[in-house]
Amino acid sequence: MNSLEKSLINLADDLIKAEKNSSVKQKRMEALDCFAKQDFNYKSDNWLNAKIDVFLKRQYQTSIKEVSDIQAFSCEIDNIESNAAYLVNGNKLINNNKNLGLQLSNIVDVTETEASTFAAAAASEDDCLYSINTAAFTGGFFLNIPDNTVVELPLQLISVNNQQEDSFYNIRNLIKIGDNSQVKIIQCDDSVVDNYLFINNITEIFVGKNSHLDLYKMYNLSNSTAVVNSIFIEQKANSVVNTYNFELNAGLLRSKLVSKLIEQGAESYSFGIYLVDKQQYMSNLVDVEHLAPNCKSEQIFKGIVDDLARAVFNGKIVVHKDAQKTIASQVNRNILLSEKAKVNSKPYLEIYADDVKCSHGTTVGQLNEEALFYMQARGISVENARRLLLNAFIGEVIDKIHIEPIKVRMSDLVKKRLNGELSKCNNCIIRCSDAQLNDADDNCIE
Amino acid sequence: MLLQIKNLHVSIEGKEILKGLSLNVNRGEVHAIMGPNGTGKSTLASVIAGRDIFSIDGGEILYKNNDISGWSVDKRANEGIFLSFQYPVEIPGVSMVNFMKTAINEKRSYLGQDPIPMPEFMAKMEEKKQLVEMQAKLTNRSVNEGFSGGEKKKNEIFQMAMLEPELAILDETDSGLDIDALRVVSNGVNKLRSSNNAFIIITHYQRLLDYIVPDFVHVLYDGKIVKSGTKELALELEEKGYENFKK
Repeated sequence: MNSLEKSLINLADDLIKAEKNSSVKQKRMEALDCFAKQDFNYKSDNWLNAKIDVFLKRQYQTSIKEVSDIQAFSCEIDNIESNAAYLVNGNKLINNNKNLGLQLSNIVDVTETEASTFAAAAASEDDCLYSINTAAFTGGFFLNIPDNTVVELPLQLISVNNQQEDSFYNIRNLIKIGDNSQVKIIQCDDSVVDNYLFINNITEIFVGKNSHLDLYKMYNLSNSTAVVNSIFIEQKANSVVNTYNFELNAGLLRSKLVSKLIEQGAESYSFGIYLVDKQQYMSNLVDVEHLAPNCKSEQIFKGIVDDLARAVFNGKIVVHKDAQKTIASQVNRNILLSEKAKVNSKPYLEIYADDVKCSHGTTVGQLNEEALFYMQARGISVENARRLLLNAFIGEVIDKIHIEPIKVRMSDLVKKRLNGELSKCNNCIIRCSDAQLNDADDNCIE
Repeated sequence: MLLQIKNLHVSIEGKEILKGLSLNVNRGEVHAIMGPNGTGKSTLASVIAGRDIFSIDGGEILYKNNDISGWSVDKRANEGIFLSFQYPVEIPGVSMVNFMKTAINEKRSYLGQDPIPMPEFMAKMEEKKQLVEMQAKLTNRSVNEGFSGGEKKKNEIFQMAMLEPELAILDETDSGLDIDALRVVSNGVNKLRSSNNAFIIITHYQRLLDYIVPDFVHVLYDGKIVKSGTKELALELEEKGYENFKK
């Protein structure tokens, strides 16, 4: 057992002793038992090609630190009207919004009734990072949206770190959406310091009948940050969920999305982009479970992999026996920009119903040489021609964004990222606004 | 002299394609290059434009009295060389507006000029569209994506009009065109002819030359120009075929 495991178990013990909510306490205890039996083993499919040891062998601060004097930072999205709430250092919730028509609180404060679905979707035995999250989470967003509620403005849920020590966070979010409700959520992780971070984040989402959720998840983290983000969604009849994953920068990133369509007519659409370079690692694991008839699902994930970077796409669609009339599709496309960049793509279909329409496909390739020559023959430099082609490649996913300011912002960030402007400074946590970017060299730590 | 090709030898993957080709082009001239398939016509066009898949084994290409062998494709374009593609490439996701604006501004930047103001650019797009009777709204369309064969060729001439080259090479612009499109494309070219620019028109058939009347006609066969003459040569070719020129 390494020192990280020891300190995580100690933290979990303390949290279990202090836990007042008996059902959550029970879940924490079971999960800790499970964690103790599991191996910190990262040889599985879930960690294909990942050099996670680099992150797990470090000494991290795990205990809860008092949060004082917060200068919370909001992910900058120009011209967006939203309501923002912050989770600082994995435990302190700052929510100054009033009259949202919904409940937004810290997960550690939930009542017995509210916690009824806690840990119902994320099974501890699947992955030791799930079990330790359940056993040792220190905080997170609890969002409860009643029936028949339309939340007009997007909600920004921002998790921010300002601790100087290298830190390991277990953050747990629970989102319950009643029937006939609508909400748009923007989730960001951010840090205002440049030390090593390991963020182990689980979000469980329960979507009621006829409800509509748009979930935007942005990753713009430093190369010394590892983030493992797992989202579990359960959808009831005729609900629609769109998820968008924008993976712009991180040292190591694993994004897992598990969607269960448990009642008729539910629809799940997932879109993702990943831009990976240097020695970064980004992995997208998608698991869509069609458990009821007449449901639809679609995934489009596109990635650009450069330098020595590694990317993984593992897409799985399971159509269960009763899920007749299922329509499911999955597309993963990759462009490799260097000889040593590598991507492993595994689209996977498992079908037990006989009346379904399913498709999947994957491509890994280089930029189109004919198109590059054509553009150069019009006077466009090879660098600009490449940029135009790469932006066009990612553009298909950006175009799926419904919220205009986010679309503009993402398109701008992708352009900057592809121009190399976002990674001017290796250790810089990317939070620069346009003005700051112009003199990024001066501001960043080399 | 605008273009001077001296004893050019070109090969690809060890296979010799051009075997000592020479050609002189002055401003104000239209040259037609005719010949059967596989004799090196398109290779000649690509090599002038700077395509690097070919290896130049001998001879030289002088453009405005410069040896351009070391020039990149985009430098050649910005110096006024334009290639109208036989098979224009579809570029999904890159809009015509963005593409054209980037191209024009790269040229302006190369020439030390400021970027084109947007209103001026849009007005120019509108004007040049009319030159080739393009109906399509270009604003939201990706480059050549979903264009018909005729639209693609019109789009080539449209781009030529936008970029105002000094040397334009039209590589089988007539192939795949119906009579109406052929007339439109030819009209476009004729309107762009001036004493300051020159055209090299590569074609199989005499038909295009009814519309764009050349000053000179060259027969390219087995990697060399085997006969040169005036427009009457094209008629002779049409009548007798290429057999007579094989030596």
